[in-house]
This record gives sequence, C-alpha cells and structure tokens, in this order.
Amino acid sequence: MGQVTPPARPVVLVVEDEPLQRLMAVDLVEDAGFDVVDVASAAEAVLVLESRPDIRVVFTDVDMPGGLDGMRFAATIRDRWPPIELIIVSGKRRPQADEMPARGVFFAKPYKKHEITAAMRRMVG
Amino acid sequence: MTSARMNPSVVTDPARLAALDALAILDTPAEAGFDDAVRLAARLCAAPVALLSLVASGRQWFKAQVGFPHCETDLDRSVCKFALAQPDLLVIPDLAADPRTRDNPLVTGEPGIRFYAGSPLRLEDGYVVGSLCVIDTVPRPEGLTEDQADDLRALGRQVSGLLETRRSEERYRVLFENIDAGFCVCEVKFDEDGRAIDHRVLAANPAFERHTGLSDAVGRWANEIAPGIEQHWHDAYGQVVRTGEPLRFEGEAAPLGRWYDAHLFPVGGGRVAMLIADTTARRRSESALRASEALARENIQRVQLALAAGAIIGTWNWDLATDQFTVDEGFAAAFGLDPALGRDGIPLAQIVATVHPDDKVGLADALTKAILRGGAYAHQYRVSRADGRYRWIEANGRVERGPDGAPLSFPGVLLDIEGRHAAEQALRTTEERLQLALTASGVVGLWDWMVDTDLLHGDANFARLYGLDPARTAAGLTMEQYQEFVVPEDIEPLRARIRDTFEREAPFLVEYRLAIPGEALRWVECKGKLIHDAAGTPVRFSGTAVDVTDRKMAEARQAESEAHWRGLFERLSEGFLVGEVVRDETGRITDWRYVDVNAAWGALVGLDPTSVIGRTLREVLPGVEDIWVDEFAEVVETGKPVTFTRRVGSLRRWYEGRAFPLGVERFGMIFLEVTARVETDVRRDALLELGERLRDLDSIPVLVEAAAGILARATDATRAGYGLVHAVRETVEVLTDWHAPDTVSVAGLHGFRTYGSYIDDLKRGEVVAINDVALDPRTRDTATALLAIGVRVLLNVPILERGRLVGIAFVNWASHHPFSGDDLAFVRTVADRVQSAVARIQAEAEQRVLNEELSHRLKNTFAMVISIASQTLRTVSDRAPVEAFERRIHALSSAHDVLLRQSWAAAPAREVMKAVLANAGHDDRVDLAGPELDLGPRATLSLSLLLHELATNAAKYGALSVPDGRVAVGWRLEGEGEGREVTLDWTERGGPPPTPPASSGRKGFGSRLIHLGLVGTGGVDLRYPTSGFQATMRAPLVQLQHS
Repeated sequence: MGQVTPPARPVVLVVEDEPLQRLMAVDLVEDAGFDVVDVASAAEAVLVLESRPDIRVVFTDVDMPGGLDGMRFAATIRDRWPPIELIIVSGKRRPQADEMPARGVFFAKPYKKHEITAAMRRMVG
Repeated sequence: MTSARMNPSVVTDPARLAALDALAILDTPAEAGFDDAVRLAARLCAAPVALLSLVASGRQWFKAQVGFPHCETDLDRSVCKFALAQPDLLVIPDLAADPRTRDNPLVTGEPGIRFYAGSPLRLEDGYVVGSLCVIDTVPRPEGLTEDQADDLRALGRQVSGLLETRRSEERYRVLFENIDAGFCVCEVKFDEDGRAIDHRVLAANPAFERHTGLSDAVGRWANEIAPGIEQHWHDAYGQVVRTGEPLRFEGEAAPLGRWYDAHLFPVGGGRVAMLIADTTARRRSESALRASEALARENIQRVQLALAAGAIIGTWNWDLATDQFTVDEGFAAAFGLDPALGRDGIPLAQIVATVHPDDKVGLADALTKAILRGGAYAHQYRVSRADGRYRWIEANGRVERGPDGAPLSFPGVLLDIEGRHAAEQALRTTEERLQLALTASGVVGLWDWMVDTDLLHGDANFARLYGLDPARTAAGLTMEQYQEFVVPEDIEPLRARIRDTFEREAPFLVEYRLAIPGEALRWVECKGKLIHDAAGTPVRFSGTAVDVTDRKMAEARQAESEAHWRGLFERLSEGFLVGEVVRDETGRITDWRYVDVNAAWGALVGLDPTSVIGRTLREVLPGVEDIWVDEFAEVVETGKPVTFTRRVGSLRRWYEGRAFPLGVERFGMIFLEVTARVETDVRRDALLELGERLRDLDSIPVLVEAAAGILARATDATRAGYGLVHAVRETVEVLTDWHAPDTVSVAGLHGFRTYGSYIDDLKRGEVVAINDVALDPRTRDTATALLAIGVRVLLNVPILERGRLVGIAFVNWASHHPFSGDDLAFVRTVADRVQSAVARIQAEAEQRVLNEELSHRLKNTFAMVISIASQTLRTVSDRAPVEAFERRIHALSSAHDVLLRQSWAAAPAREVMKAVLANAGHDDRVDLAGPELDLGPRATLSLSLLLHELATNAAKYGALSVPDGRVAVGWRLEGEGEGREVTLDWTERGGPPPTPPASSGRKGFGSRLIHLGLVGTGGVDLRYPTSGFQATMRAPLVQLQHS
C-alpha cells in the first residue's frame, strides 16, 4: 500500500500524582527519545497497561495517595506483565533489596535527570 | 594389802585428766574464793595444814594452801590421789599406820604428817579432779568430829561448784576466742559533763585484731591505739553505759580505714561488750554504685538517664524574651505551687520565694551567669516542699540563644538529690564532733625538764597530778621535789628509766605510783623524749604524764571478774548455738542436735529457746534445706570454720553467720538475722540492673518483660508484669509477663471486673495490696477466678498519666506472702521507671516518624523546585546555567540527607563531604583526611554548597578534568577553648596548571559561593601554584557547630 510506518519508538508509562513533577518526567522521557503515556495514579496505570501492550518501561513514584501503594503496584506489574522494566522513585527512604521487584531500579527524589535517562536507555536500548 | 591400794588407772584416766585440763586452772595465780575455802577448812578442823590439791598426771598442784611450804609435789608424796576413788571423805587417822601412806616421804621425813582427811572434788560429770584436805602432824585416832566432817564435805562441794563455774566460763571463753566476729569488752571514760570521751579495751578475741588491724589493743585506750577515732564510737559506748540498752549501728572508723557493723551491749560494772564485723567491702560496693550514678549525671545524656532512673522531679521552660516561666506538674509540686498556674506562667519571684534563704543569693547569681554566658547550667539548692521541709534539688538546664546571640529561652529539669546531700551533711557533722572531742580532752599533763637549770616545768594538769601548786610547777622544781611522793619501791625503777633514756636514748615510758598525803594512791604513766641541740647534746627532756589509776584498777578488777563469759553469751543479740552432729548407722551425718542456744537465738529464729535443747534441727524445723545440715557436718568433719549468708525458706528469713568446730562432734555458730539487709541489697541490685536494662532496650515488650523478671526475682513472686490499661473499657493488656515455671502466663487482654472491684482504687491512683484474695472484700466474690490463675496475694501499682490510669505493674504470689512497706515502695519505683522508659521509647518512635515525614516532604519540595526550574527554563538555549542550578539543588539535598540520618542535630563532617562529592560523582578521586568533627545544620549546608562548587570547578578546569588528577581535602582543629578554629585545605594535583581568574569584572555565583567560606563569613585563601589549585578556609569551631 506504500504507506511508511515510522519505526515504533519504545513507550514509557509515567505514573506520578504531582502534576509539576509529572510534567518534568514527561519532558525527560521525550527528551530521551521515547514515546510517553502519563497517568496520575496506579489505578489508571493498570487500565493503561491492560490496553497498551506496547509499554516497555514504567517510571513510577511510589508514594501516591489513594488506591494501590507504589511498591505494591510495582509488584503487581512484575506479576502480571513480567517483561516490563521498572524505574521507581521516592522521597522516602530507599527500600530494602528484598522489597524491590526483580530488575527494578530505584532513585531517590530529587533524582538526576541524566541518571534516569541512562537507566531507560539501558533497559530498552 | 594390795587390794587396799587404789587402782592407779583412776589417776591416769584420760577423760579425768581432760576434765581437769578443761578447767585451765593448773599454775594459775591464787584466787580469793579458793584461799578462803582452805583457810576455813583449816580453822573448822583445827588443823595446821589445809590444801586444795589438784591431781594431774605426774604431780599434784595446790590451788590454795595453808601451813604447807610447797605449791606442788610429785605423786609419790600425794595422799590426795587416794581420795580420787572415794565416794565420800577419805579419812586416814594415822598415816604412819596405813599401808597406803606409811612409806610416803612426807610421813617418814619432814614435815612428818600423821593425819589426813580429804573431800574429793567431784565435777558434775562425775570426774574427781582432786581434793580439799586437812592435815595434822599428830595422828587423830578419832578422825574428824561429825561437825568437822560435815563442814569439810560442805567446803568440798563449795570448791567443786567454783570449779564447775570455772569450767563453764572456760567453755564460753573458748567460744568467744573462736568466733569470727571481732569481740571486745571495754570500759568507758567520761568527762565532767558526763560525755564519753574515750574507751579502753579490757579483753579482745583474736578476731578483733583481724577486724581492726590493731594488735596489742588490750589495756589501751581507743584514742591512743586509733588516734583520730571518731567521737561517735565513744558516744555509742557512753550511751550503752548510761541507758543499759544494747545499740547496733554501722559506722566508719576512719583511722582504721574501715567500716563496721557494730553491736554494743552492756555487761555490767559499767563495761560494754562489742561485736564487730568489717563491712568495708560492702560499703565500697555501695559507694561504687553512688560513684557510677554520679558519673552518669556527668554524661551529656544526663537528662535522659535521669528520666530513665526516675530522678527527675519536674521540668521548666523560661521564655527569656517574654520572661514567661512555665513549669510542669512535677515542678509545681516540688515548689508547692498551683499546677494550673505553672502551665500559664509564674513570676520568677514566686519560685525564688520557696528557695531556702541561705541559697537565694547563690541561685540568683548562678541564673544570671548562665543567661549571660549561655549554654549549660547546673545548680544545687534547697527548696521548701509542700510539707514545709527543705529538700535538696539540682536544677539542670541550658540557655538557648538566637542567631544574634541574644538569650531566647532557658529550659531545664529538676533532679532530686536529697539522699546525696543528707549523706554529705552527716559527714560534716561527724567531722565537727571529732574536732570538739579533740579540743575537749585536757587530761594530759605536760612536763619539760631543762638540763642546764635542772628544773622541771609542769603545766596545770601536771601540777594537779602531783598534788602541787601550778605556780610552783610552772616556775620549775627539781626532780627530787617531784619524786617526794613517789612510792619508795617505784623510785629506783623510775630513775633507771631516766638513766636509760639519757645514756642509751631508750624510749622513755614508765609507770609509777604517787602516795600524796590525804589522797588515794595514784598511778601515773609518763612518756617523754630528749631534745638535743645542734651539737647533739641533750638540752631538754620533755613529755606527758597521764593519770592511769582507772586503768590499773580495772585491770585488777578484770583479773577477778567472774561469771563473765556465760553472761556475755546470754546478753548477745547475736544468735549463738552449740550443736552436736547426729549420724546414721553408716556414720554419715544426717542431722544435728541443739546442745545449747542463747536467748537471742530464740528471738532471731522465732522459737522458744528452752524448747529446742536436746532436739534436732530437722525436728525443730521440718523441711529445712539440707545445706543447713551438710555445711555444718563439713565443719565437724574438716575442722574448718565456714561463713554463710543463707535463707531458711520455711521461716522466710535470711541469716548470716559463722560456724566453727568446737571439740569432738560439735560445732558452735554465731549468727544474725539479716533478712532486711539482704532484701534491701536484692532490691538495690535489682534497681541497678533495671536502670541498665531500661537504658539499653528499645522495644516496649522486651523492656516490660525484663522489668517483670527483675521485679519477680526481687520480690520472690510467682508472677510479675506490666499491663497497658484502657480505663474506659476497664481492660488491661498484658504484653508479656514473667512467671514461675509452675505458674501460667497471663499475657493477653483481661477485663478487670472479672477479678474484682479493685480497679476503682487503681483509677484513684491508689496502690492495691491484697493479702488474701479470698478474704479481701474487693476480691472475695471473684476469688475463684484469681486462684484459678495462681493468685493468692496480689500487688497492683497504678501508673497514671495526667491523672488517668494508663498502666499497672503487678506482682502475684501463689501462696501467702506477707509484704512490707519496702516491697510496696520497691514495686512503685520499678513501675515509675518502666513508665518513664515506655514513654521515652514512644516519644522516640514518634520523633522518628516525624523526622521521616519531614524528610519526605523536603525531598519532594526539592523535586518540585527542580521541576519548576526545568519547566521555566525549558526554552533557555544556554543549558549550562540550568544544569548548574540543578546540580546545586542536588548538593543541598545530599546535605539534608546526612542531617536527617543524625536527626537534624549535627552531622559528621566526613559524611557530609563524602555525600556531596558522591553526588558530584567524584568521591573516588578525592581523599578525605581529618579528625572526627560534628557540624551544625547551617555549616552542613554551606560546606556542601562550597565543596560542590570546588568539585565542579575541578572537573571543568582542574585536577578532575584529566584522568589521573586527584584532590586532597584535609581539615584540622587549632587553638583552645572558645578560640578553636577549623582549617580546611582543598589541594588539587595532577591536573593542568591553573590560571588565576581575571581580577576585573563581576564574579559568577559559583565563585562568590566559594568566597563565602565555610560559614558564610569569608576566611578563604585561594592559591594557584603550577602543581594545582589550592584553597584554605578557616572558621571558628563554635560557628561551625552552631545550630
């Protein structure tokens, strides 16, 4: 049919309840050369994941009000969508190694943008 | 007539000889009682000779005699030996005619004795030790008249009685020689006002020397053998003489460097006996405890420790800016103030009004100084408590200053130090009394003999001693004038002593008698020494003279004192017993029999002393612990004494004492009941242990369990614990408890009403002590429920918080257990401490939660700042300043991280530097070296920003811009006290040669940050040698550590 499909860029799901921080995270993901979907809660994120099989990385804050706690959300992803890579950020204490889902990477807030970029590229590069 | 001869074995019978030995009478001086008996015998029987003859092995020895030249003879010359086997008088009318005696040299030769009549001296156990006899030099065919025979028998019985008394005396004397406690009998010297000023040891046992270290104490005055001995010892002796009541106390004898548990009791004739035990070791451990407590107070965490130890009375906060003084309830109570007023603020004048008048000025002074100087404050003073009595307290606080150095607030706590002060006060009083005693003694006469004038000068005491006019002795008299009244036979020995002193430098010490006309004979003890001039020639001879008449008289009295030891035995308040072991058929010792006990034994054991003689221990105390038999069996078997401190379970009493061997199959024991002391020790140790555990433990259940175990062990309980109370639901939740192996745990949730109505008392803050749950009105209806969980006796101590019941400490006993006020006080103390510790843990946990929340918000805020900046500056094409900004925010965040780990108070300099350098990504190429140093929060932030800039510059232009470059960061402390400074060096090497910045133009933000220095006030020196960039920064330590 002659149509040219541009090569699909990896999609990153940003989960962050704080709007300003979510904006920055979205910029960060786009600047790194990925497509981005952003939501404000874990519940919305699950809905997105159920409809978007192309998501490769979830970049999530763990302390969000209401619904699923961030760490349990991360664990859910690891159970239901094992291939998805996880980047977890938090303003709270660093989780113990046994609390982290397999292959999950943790960054304390305020995180450094270049470190997140590097981590995402490593995961899907 | 062989059959008429006595069986020689009676003379040599070992048991008889042992009985004689036990009298310890052979070769002793004459005694009036025995002398009187022979004199009477001679007179009543009209005989020229009378003897009290004791027949030993190989000789007969005369304790008393009339008309006979010898004090002993061999047995060949003995007639008395034939009396030994006689049931009654032995009468031999003509010794020359009797086959037993006709060859006796005393009969055949001088003095030619012809008649003998002797009364055998038979002791209570049947042994005959000798005879009381009369002898004549002419035969008496009729023998004695009937009256004479009766009289001789009576006198013989009298003498036997005296010997018997002596034997029992001897037995008790041996006891006292053997006991482990120091023992002495003393006489007391009083001054004219009736105050005891000295005491002299008349007799002492060997242990006395061990306990006091004083050898040769007998016959000497305490002030002489232990100079500086505390007046309280004399006072104690004086009191016992005056009141006739025994006295028991624990006191120090500083000259001996020891503490004693002393028991004094009167023994008649104005004399006092004392038993002492050295308690120095125990006192030392007590003072070590006090020292460790004192040390704890010095600790920087003294306030926390005091809180854990329950020593805090109350807390205050003084807002200096508004002069508002607010206090908590404890403080208000301590000062007798209205608690409501305390919360709203009290004028300081009202606080000071309750301070002891003598302490007000000092307190005002200390407060002023603390406010002017700032920092820590500690001051001790007395305040009038609610009961009107003054108590010592210590106020501990800290003046907080604002950033401009102005004092802002002055919070602190009050500590109870009454106990410590009372002890110090008592010590001072004792010292004052000693001083008084020393100045009051004026009984020593002083003399001084000038060699050149040959005149001896004496002071007024000396004049009085010699019955001379003080004016004359002061002016000086010749030696002969003084010696006028010396008893003639004492003059030569006195002169000999003086000669010895002058010729051989012998120490001068002599006793002599003065017979002053119209006065009683007086004994004087004189001591002195020669004083030489520079050339070594004696120029003076001076010394002291003391009237020792009393001592000499007492020595004489002592020699004749009778019925002394037996009396002591009965007057002792120490329990004393003599036991004889009981063996089974295999020879094993299984029990022992009471042979003798004194009156005190009855009081200490709680049994009638007369009811136990002849019975055995196991009969008297059924179920007694085996060790009470086994240990004394060992004493008998090995001959070695033992000391013990042990409990008789069935009596619930503790005893401390000493058992020692006492001849064949017997032992003696002297002991005291020490239940109160042991229990006090146990409680003290328990509180000490509790204090340590409470400090170390951080989890409430573990802490409560530890406290419960300590509580139960110290009170001998079957269960103990601590429960959290819900006052509205009337439930108690026992997290953990300690329970005896055969007792169930009550951990879990319980409704109070299931077990009785006593929660009403607990809610009012009253301690609930129920001696028997089946009888107490509060529990008798629910007794079944309590007994089912093993509670017969219970003690509940309420723990109130702001007047509300929040917890209880409980102690249960499964069977009857009488408890004392001390038990209650102890449980209450433990409960208070547990409550404080629980509050501390809860407060710390809350603080941790708060800190984490704060940190979380701060980090989110930093993240927000970065988000806003990155959105705001999104369109800026020059990315370098944007990135620099973000990195600086990250540096700030890392510093906060370190501070958070230290709860925002202070951060170790090394960790701050490591964090910020790691954040910049260079920690592996920077070497840190310097002493431990804590930074205040402000310095932590400024240093972080500063190092971040230096590292950024080094990475751009300096040592960190090339692979092999390194940076050394070193810091050191210089100076002393307030002027201490911290110097920090940043030294780059291995990089390209640095270029100094152009001096003109406006500096960038990074450069200005660097120039602000460690605390924002400069003190920065930058250098650019070719080896690499160097920076040196200085700041006062106080500013670096300021909060």
